[in-house]
Amino acid sequence: MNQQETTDLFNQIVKDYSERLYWHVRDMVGSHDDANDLLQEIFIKIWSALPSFRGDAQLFTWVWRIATNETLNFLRKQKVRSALSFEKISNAQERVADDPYFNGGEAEKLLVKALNKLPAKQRAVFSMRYYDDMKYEDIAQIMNSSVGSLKASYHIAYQKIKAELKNNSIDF
Amino acid sequence: MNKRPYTTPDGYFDFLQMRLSQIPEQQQVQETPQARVSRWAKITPYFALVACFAFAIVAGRFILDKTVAQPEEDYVTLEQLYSADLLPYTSQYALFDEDYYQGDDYSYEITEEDIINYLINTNVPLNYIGQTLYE
Repeated sequence: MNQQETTDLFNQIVKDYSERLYWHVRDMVGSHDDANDLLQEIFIKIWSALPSFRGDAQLFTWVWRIATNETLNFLRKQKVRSALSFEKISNAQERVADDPYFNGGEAEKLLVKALNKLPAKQRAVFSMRYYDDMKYEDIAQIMNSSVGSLKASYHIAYQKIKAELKNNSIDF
Repeated sequence: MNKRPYTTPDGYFDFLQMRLSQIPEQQQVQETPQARVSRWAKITPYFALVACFAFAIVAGRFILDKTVAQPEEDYVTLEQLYSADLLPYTSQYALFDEDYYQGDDYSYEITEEDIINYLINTNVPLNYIGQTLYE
């Protein structure tokens, strides 16, 4: 791929996937500001990796994999930073209540809080399935996992959220 | 597909696409200074490495020569001894071996003059010769 072809492909990826990638990242990090910053880093990574894209994987799953890995790295670093600064991670989870861009009802607030309590990878799988209605085969390629283990992961996440909502008398 | 319970600032995605589209240009500007490195600049570090090795070898050789090699005067002394015609150089102890001088071919009586010549050839100071012989 020459420079012009790479630039054209990159611009096509921005046009087709930037909005969907934003929501995917937002589901995992929970905050608009974090998602906004992270998206810039993700697309810089995509630009750097584009010359090595051989086309043996779907472009969509390739882009999603980069975005998911970068977001998981961000969350890992955030966890370390929280531990070192003695800030409770649950404070980040409680932030949904103060989020100015949150426009859901009480049930949805509890759902998002319950989601934020899940481990990062489980949250990613649940979000891709629940919000994006993605096929397990595509999620398996993105997460580099098997369809069977993903179905199990989704089922466990679903049960945890259901239990959390039931504690607050909400049906899920 | 279930609806997400959050929104974004107005016009966010239009601005997002515009901002992300500038990434190739920004990255190319960052990468360009590296592309301008000349060939000479690339191979200079290797020349420096070779020069360091060469200096280390030369310096090490110089130091070894100064500390390990015998002084030149020792070689001179030995050469003078070898060239002395007083004794055939077969055994350094032949001088004290009476049997060695039996027979016509090897009979040789050492005179005082021989001894003095030997001492002079081996750079023994003259005053020492005088002291030793005539005490």
